[in-house]
Amino acid sequence: MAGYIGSKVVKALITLWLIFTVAFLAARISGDAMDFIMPEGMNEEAREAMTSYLGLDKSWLEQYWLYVRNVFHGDLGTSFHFRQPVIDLYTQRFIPTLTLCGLAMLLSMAISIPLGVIAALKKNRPAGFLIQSAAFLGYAVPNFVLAILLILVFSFHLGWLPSSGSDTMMHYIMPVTALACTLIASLTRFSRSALLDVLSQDYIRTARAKGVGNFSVLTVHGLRNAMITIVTVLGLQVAALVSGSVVIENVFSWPGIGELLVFAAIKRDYPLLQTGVILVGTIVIFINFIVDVVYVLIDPRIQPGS
Amino acid sequence: MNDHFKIYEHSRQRNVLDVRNLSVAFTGRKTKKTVLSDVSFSIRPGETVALVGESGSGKSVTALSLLRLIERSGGVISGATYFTDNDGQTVDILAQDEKELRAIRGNKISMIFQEPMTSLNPVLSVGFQITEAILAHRDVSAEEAKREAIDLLHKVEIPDPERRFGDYPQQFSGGMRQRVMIAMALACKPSLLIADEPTTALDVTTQARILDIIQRLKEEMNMAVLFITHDLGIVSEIADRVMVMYCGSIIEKADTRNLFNAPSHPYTSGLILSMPAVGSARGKGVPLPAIPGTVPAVWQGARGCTFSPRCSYAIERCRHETPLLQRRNPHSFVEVACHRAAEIRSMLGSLLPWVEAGELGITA
Repeated sequence: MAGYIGSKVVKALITLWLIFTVAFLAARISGDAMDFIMPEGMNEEAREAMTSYLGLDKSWLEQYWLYVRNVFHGDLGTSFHFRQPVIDLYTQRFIPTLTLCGLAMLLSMAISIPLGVIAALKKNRPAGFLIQSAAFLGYAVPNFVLAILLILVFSFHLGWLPSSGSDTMMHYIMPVTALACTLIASLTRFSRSALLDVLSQDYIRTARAKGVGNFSVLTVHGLRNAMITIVTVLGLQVAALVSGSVVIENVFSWPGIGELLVFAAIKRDYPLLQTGVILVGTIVIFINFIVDVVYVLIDPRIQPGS
Repeated sequence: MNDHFKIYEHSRQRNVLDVRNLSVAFTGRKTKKTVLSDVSFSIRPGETVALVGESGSGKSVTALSLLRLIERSGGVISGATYFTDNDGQTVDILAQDEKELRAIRGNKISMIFQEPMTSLNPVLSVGFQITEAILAHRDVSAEEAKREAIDLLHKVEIPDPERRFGDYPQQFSGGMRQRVMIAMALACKPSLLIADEPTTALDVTTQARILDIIQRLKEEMNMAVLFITHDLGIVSEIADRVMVMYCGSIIEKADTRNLFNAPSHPYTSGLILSMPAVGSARGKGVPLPAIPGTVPAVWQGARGCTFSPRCSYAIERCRHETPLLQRRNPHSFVEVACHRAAEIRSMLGSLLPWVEAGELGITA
């Protein structure tokens, strides 16, 4: 098990390094940070002084090398815009994002698996058809559209829920719902088809032939196997969920990584952007790691480390 | 109550299973496909009855209908299936509700399937799957169930059962998995075991071991067996009586010896004659006689003998009038559904000399 976790960590570090490299290059190719830092009409000398102060006069390779070296010394850089270490800026924001994504994931599972089960059991019946259609609709609506709709209805017209911030439990309802919607829809559909597939297997017939009750057949024999597919899909959707959170955080002014990340991208705040991307990558890898552990727990055919 | 019915009632008491006019149809929006029509047979306690036929003849549908496992796939069953357990209680399986059915399945009637590779749940240990069968029907503690499960694994000759109890199906070979299936099926000492091609997916050596185990446990538990197979070699080894199925109907019923020595239906004799024997001169250089054509998926014609399109003895009458399964003659227990059975039999004569000469792949 230790070796399994060790190899996972090594793979995670390589992935993060690749993500960082892409972010590093993409940020620089897409625009010059100086255009955003210096006001219009500043003189050339001041601009050059600022450029060399921020280390942007060096070649990309040199900047890359310096940054990587600093990261290994625990220094993720200083934000161009805020003039603060980026690590301080993100510390406060890491937990809200993780909470938002985690809650959205739990909510998706809590809703979509039962819905998928009902849709599978009521196949060709009105209830099943309704769930299938609703899931299709949920899948088709982009989460930012849903987010704005939610704000319009529940904050603007009804005034029930706060539209921004994260101070109380009430603040969580809309962002989590908006973020979870796509995942609920896709997981419902996958749960349904996974369960239908499992229920047509020979071992389900064996279980029935043994005289096992319907509920046990469904849960012990059916869902346990269907969960393998569901968890796989969940693992694949995590990246989409976390990147979706960037948009949702901005719509709801959620004080998370995503909100700051968008700011960093617009302002070409390289250190802020690079660190943000690494953090988002870390969250995706972390959730995927949990998924992998769950995977080993439900499927005895998977041996960790082999 | 007339005398005839009394006799019937009496005979019914003695049979483990009395199937009367069992039919199964699959209905679509506009179509209705009958896959099993008017199948009637009975099985006595402790008896092994073989149900033979080609793929698609309706053998498995019969087996699944007996436990009412076909309805979920859309099959509609009609007829009656009287089942009498070892305590002498008789019920019509087709009249039972879901709860009553559960009390019968795996408890009084058990079933083992063709594919040991896919018939066990891959994410549950074999120990769990066996104890589950015990706990579903009997009021015993988990420890007691575990002890019994290990004992069952021992009975089906799985080496080191204590250690293998917690293993998962994929850690067992095909033959070993089928033993696990048998252990699971026999967990509650059923009165009837339905074995649906239990050895078809296994190699010949393993096949023999599995058959031995089934035979031994059958005698130990005084259990009747309905053995479904397409392998006449197995039939000749284990069955007391044989029923030949073709296209959803039973076309011949006879005791094993009679069937092989003197088949009555042209289809049965065709099946027997097409069997190669090890070391036989027959079939060397010359192709074995084969029955022309294939089994129709579902019988489309409304009337006539289902075998008539492939039958070399078919006459005009065969194409218009459905032959009923009836005794070959008033003194015989052999039943056959063929208009020309008597004529054909006198033409063919007995196969006994062939069997005795070892020319057919069966033992006399």
